[in-house]
Amino acid sequence: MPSVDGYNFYTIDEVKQMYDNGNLTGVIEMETMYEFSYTQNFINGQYVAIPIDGTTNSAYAGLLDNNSDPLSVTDIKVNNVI
Amino acid sequence: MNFGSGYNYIAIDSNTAFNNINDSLAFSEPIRMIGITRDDVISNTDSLVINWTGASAANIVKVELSINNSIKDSEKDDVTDLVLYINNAGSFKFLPTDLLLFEAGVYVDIVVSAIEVQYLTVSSGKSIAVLGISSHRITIKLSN
Repeated sequence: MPSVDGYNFYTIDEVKQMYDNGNLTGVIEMETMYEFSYTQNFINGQYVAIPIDGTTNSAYAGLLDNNSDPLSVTDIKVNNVI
Repeated sequence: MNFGSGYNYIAIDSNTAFNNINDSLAFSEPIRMIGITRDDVISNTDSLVINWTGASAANIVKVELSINNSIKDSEKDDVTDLVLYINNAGSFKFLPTDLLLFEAGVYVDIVVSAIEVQYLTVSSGKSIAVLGISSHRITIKLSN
């Protein structure tokens, strides 16, 4: 953890390394923003927005195939409870 | 999306990398700033202490200060954005040297985001990281 001007903080690369267990085939990002939403992706891949219920929440996904190439993520559902 | 109570359900159809999955997971309480109210006026010569509740102590928290362009008073096109990723200590203090990067009179968005990770294991033996990100934004005005 670097320290600058008295701040101790992580770089974005360090944050990615913390969440990458070395065996990832994808990332799903589920967000809830009190007032506003934003996007933040952590691995390279084909990211898509996932339709879910509610207007103040967002979900995104990126998956990789066995060659670490982007994998289609069109068949993924989050909280798609009927 | 469910944070603090309830489960989030994830279904992925079979594909060339792994078999279908149907799973659920829960995230901790969403992060919420306390002690700061929308439209508060803060001097850019003072420190700005941000406190929050919610989120797990194990979460990484992203703290961000950025100019709110939608209600910006200034005609300048300068873009100032401070972003830090820190361990969740429940508070963070921006120093006057940070706030002086912003022009007095502008509106500034304070955004805190808690990042929680959980993993789903798929049939190939690999895993999918599921990031639960809860955020809270409050817009304040900087004075001099």
